Amino acid sequence: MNLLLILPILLPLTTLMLCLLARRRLAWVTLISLVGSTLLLITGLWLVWFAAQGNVLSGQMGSWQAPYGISLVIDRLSAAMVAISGVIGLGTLVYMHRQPMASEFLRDAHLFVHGLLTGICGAFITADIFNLYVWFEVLLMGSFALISLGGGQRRLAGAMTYLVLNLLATLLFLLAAGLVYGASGTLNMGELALIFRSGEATTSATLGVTLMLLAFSIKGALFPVFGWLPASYHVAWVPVSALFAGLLTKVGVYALIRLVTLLWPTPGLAHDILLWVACATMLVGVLGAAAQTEIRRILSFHIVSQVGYMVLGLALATPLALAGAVFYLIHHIIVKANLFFIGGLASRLTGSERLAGMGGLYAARPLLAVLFAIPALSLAGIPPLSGFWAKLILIRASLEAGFGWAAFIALLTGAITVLSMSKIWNEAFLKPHPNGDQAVQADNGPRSAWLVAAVLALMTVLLGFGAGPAMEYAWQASLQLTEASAYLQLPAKEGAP
Amino acid sequence: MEWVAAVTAGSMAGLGIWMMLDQHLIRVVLGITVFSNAVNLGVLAAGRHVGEAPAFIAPGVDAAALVNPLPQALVLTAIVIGFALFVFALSILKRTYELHGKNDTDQVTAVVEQPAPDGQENGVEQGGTLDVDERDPSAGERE
Amino acid sequence: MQLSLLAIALNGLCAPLLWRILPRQALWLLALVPAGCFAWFVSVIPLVAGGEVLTSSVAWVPLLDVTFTLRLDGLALLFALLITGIGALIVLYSGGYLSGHPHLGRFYAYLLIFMLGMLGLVLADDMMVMFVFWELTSISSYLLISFENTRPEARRAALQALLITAGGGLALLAGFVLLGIAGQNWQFSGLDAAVVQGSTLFPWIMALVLIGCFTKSAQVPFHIWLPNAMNAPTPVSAYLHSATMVKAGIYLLARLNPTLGGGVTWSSILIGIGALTALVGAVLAIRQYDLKRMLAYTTVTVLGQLTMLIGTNTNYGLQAFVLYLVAHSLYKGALFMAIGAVDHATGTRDLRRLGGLFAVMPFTGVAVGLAAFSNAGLPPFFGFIAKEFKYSGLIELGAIGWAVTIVMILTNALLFAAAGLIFIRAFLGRRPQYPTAPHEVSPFMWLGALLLAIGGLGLGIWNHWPEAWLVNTAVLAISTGPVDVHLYLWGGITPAVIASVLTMALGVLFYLQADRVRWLANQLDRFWRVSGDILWDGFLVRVFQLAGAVAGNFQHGSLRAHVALLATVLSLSMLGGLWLIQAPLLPAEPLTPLTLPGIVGALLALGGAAGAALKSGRLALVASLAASGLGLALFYLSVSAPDVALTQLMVETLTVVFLAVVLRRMPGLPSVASGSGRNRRWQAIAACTVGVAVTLMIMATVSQPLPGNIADWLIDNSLPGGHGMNVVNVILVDFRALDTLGETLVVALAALATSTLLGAGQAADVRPKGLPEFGSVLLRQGMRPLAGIMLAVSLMILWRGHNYPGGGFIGGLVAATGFALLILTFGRGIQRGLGRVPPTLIIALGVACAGGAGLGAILLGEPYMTSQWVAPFGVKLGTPLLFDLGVFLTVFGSVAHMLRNLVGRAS
Repeated sequence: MNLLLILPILLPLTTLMLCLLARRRLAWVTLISLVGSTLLLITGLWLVWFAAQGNVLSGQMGSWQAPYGISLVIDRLSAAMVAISGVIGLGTLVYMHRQPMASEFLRDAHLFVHGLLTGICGAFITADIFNLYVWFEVLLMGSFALISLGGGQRRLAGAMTYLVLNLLATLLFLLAAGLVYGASGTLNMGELALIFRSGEATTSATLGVTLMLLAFSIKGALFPVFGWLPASYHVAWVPVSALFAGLLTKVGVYALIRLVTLLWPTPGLAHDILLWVACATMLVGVLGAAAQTEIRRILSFHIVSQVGYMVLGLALATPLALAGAVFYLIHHIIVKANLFFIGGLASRLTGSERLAGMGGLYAARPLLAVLFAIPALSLAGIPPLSGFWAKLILIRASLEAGFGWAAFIALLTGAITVLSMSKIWNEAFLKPHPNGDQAVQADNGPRSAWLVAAVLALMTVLLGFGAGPAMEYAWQASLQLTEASAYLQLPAKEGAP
Repeated sequence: MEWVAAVTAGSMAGLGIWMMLDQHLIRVVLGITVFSNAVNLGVLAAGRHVGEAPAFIAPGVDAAALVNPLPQALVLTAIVIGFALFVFALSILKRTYELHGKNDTDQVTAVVEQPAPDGQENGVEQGGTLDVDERDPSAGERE
Repeated sequence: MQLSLLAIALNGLCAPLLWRILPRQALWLLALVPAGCFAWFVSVIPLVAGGEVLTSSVAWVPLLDVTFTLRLDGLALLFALLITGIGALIVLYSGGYLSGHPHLGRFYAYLLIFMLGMLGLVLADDMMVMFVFWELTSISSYLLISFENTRPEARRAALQALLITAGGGLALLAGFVLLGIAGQNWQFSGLDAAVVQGSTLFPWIMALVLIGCFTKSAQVPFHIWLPNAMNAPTPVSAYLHSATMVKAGIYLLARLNPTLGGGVTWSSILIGIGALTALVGAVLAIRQYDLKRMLAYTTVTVLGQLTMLIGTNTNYGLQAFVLYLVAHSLYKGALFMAIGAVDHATGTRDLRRLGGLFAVMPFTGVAVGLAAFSNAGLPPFFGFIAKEFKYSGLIELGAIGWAVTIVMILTNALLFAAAGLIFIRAFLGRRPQYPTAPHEVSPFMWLGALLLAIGGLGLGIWNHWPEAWLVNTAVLAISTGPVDVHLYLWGGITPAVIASVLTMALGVLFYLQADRVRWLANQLDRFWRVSGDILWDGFLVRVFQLAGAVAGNFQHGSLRAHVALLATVLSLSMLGGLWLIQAPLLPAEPLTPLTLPGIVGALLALGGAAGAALKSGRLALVASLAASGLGLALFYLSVSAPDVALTQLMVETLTVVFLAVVLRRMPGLPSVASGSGRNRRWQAIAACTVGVAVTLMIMATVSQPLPGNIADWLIDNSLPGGHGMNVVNVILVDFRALDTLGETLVVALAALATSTLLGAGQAADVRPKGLPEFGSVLLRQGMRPLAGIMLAVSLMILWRGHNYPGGGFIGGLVAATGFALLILTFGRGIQRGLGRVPPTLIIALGVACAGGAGLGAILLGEPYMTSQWVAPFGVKLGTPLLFDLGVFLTVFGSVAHMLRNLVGRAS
């Protein structure tokens, strides 16, 4: 169990190292990297299986007891997040395979993806605030490297914006961590939860936590501080932007969920503010998307609006709403990454990312049309795909909690999402190609990329039809989140020696 | 000392933000450093530096008189991380100057909002080379 | 039942494949499944008519109480028969209509999936399951309407239909959820009218459900999508827009009538909107020359009338609803199919260019004739009975009923005229010149129309049959109380008959004066235009304008504006928080006394930062930054943080070196504070507020004593547990080693990222002779020993670090500084000296050391990073030392790597 607990960090770390050693040979790097991420996926599934039976893995690094040493905790939510990271990580790496990119970049891309995964998985399983900061830095560094990968003016300019704003967010997080320690005397999330739940938290500790939530909000791209996301995602290399779209903002959302449920299990002022923020995020994000004319920009703005849904679930703070947030998180990661993947395929085939320059895919590539339709409909919340259940649970939760206006905004956002998804469909697929349908590339590109899109689409469908068990898992996870017994027991746990 | 640290950290943070709002990328990058230094100082101050001696255990030293070592360890970690990020920012700066040939923030970042160029594989963009007139003016280098 | 759904679903999914393999036989095979389903539904008629209700249920999402429950009662059965029966005919018909179309397989798939959605919709008892199928019909109809995707009008129409019906669908979803919450039940059959209508949510439920139904059933003002949807191929129109999809909203109204109906509001809304829709539809219909559009608008009329009939909630009204539903489905399906056939055969469906087709297209002509009679409500057709009951139902209502009846007479007269136009103008009279030579269409295409039309006649003549088997149970399912159904063609001279006679008279008049009626309708042209598409387009434009405005606020492409926004949000939230919690800002007494080095350090740090913010020369910038860093180091030293001070010092040195290397290539900064004055002022305010906020936050934090005992514990356990006297170092390599592991990873990644960014291979080629700035011979002579000493010192720092100031980080940084000096001075030569060890290898080794140091513990069954110590020859060795070595190597390798990349030139 000691090994299983640390594997989500060690596996990508080791893979990264081996890739570094094998750096000269792309084939070796690819092999190592694919094996490594497959193992990560297996570990993630193992963890989910383990957690689904009600087990919580936790341990003290270096055997130092809890408020002093660093704790790691894997509960249902963490396990699911690790598993989904494995899915998207593997998907991205497979998609990358044989993409038209200089081999030295391809080689480095493998490396950085594993660096990113190390940070992401670390952030998902740690129960220590400063440790969380460190993992944030790791994933940030990995993402910096990836977003600038391939070079070029546009990409570099995007990287610049991304870099400065994310650095600022991380530095704020660091400051907040220092302040929280200074005000509460602990870095351990379990002990912090005990302090806050018993009402002994000092006012300045609350303030520190607020700053931390602000930092997470920037990371998670909430209104009004999401500006960095639509300014950078669309210029990155396609597999990179898919990876980011799937996983990156979700780390911020995860951290928000984790911290808020730990410290304030019952609704309060923080939840009220989050509710407003969530609704504003949904609406502004989706309106922003409606204004776009390029496929990846539309999708980028939709990330923002979708994050709003998750935060809505968090803000409502009922078990059902939290379960909705968890389910939404999982569903969204798969769907959003897949849409970016498919968007990449579509723009490659049509030779343009601008909707005006795309077209003719409906006739030329019906398979791609089907592949696009599945995640797009899911995103728009069309039943019985996963997105429908995710939205339904949140709408029901907000209506049950008496927040009809929040449900209204969620539904309105859904309607505009339909509009912008059908816009892509209309322009890129239905409409004939502006240069005649012969302008659609005959070459489909690497098959692995199609495979990834197909597998992810299949997962969306399965998650929709099998919503029963998945929802049950999310429900249990949400109960676990507010109960947080594994976390609350941490400080009492004695170290080995 | 607490308020000295607090005021210094706060002022440096303000200066850092001010520099990040500058029109020149160089100063933006320096602003990151200043802001990160401010945050480091803030973390150390928030963790208190009460105590007369550094946290070294030696025979005969009163443990109660030692300063809190934890914030120091945290700040040390943060400094090194900050340095790594600074270097990366610096290399972005360098590369930006090489590719864009200018250091004006708004002009550089505005490129992101231009429509996506057509007919491009999503791989390496063209234009990764320097124009002749932007090369290093120092002649001695090519010897 | 489940089997029927499954069969149709499979059928739909296999259709493209089947069509590709067996293009000829596919038609029959595909029609077989709906026909089989139809047969099955026919076979259960006796059961259902006997009062039985078939159900089946499978759990789906228990958490949300969603079960896949199907329930076949009279109403569902009626719809199921129409859907599968007409569906089977439509499949055959489309095989003829679209024969040879390259995407026919796709078309079948959409059509069958639509059929699945429709059938599921009427069978589902669970509200959520019903909604699933409801949306499925929206999506599949979108695909069907946009089937001819190269035509912009088809795309636009499809989008319009999708947005209106899916938007209404979302309202419906909210309505369902509220209904479930209010009724404490998620099955239609389990809803209790008293509970629901007693709930405070009832007005909301009613409004939302009605929006959903009205959008789907094209009631005013949502009716605009339906005529536009005529851009779909005719089989689609025949199926979706006559018999099925638009009836989904009607179905739901009927289904919920027992639960939501009975009140005055419900009735008046349904009657009001229904009557208005009927009138608008009829007037619009008579204006048309395009036969298909004319049929579309008459459909709108019928939908309005059906809505109205549900609203009456009277005995006759509900009976009329069921009768009219059946009658309309039969004749409208037949008419659409026939018009499609005409279009197919003659190449036009413009009323002005048609005529005399009966002779060349006898079968189609008979079908149209029979259907048109039923449409016109002539006895003995089923349409006649429906119309009689309609009037009876309305008259039962009393005064309002009479008023509405007058509207009805008018609309029915218009329908009558339209039916006349269709049959008489197109099929009788003179035969004009046609674009293609008219001919009778293939049996596939007339058979369906003929069967449906004959059905309308047959049901009318043998009306006891539908009465006994279908209508009764269906009406029972809709009504709130028991109803006795007795159909008749002739019930004596009743007000209804009088109304009927009036209708016919008026209808004949309208037909004869068709042009005049059209002229009258056109007088209101402006009204028709405003009510329809123009509003829709304007609405979309508004939405996009709003979206553009919103996006513009965040997509300015200016980094500074992003940062400014962030700073504003930051300072506002922090100051707001401070104000809200009213934290004390000053400690009761100073915790530590002021010291001179501390104050000097702080001043230097501040001054340096200010210099960096204000100075313009490159040299001045670097010097200011360095001063700032040095000041900080001094401050750290003064507050008993020697390790931090050392680190800061080394980092500052390297920062300066790196900055110098990069800035060397760049021009200086022209001015201090540029940008427009107004902006700049705001930015200054934002920056200042951030500064104030940060200061106050720190003050608020330190104003109270530090809780917890972590510091004491760390100090107490450092020597016994961590075997080190330098507590800070023990924390780094043992207590919190995982942090340090992550940190080394950041450094390593940064180095690698720098190399990727700056063009890997080429950058490694540092110029052979070092930098010209370091060209002095004297410097070169001095540099070698200096660097050597630094390397040696760094190793010592590493080794001693566990007990004295130092450690892996500081050691690595010192070594890297030494190396940096060497590289700058001697260039590539020094690499040979290093034995060609690539820095990446050092980095990999370092990360391996650091990461692997904790692995042994796992083998021993202890948590990761648990330290293991041995003491051979009295020298204490432990895994933390290995860890520290890893840190040293990583930092050294990384910094060396970074330097080489930064010094290198762009390729």
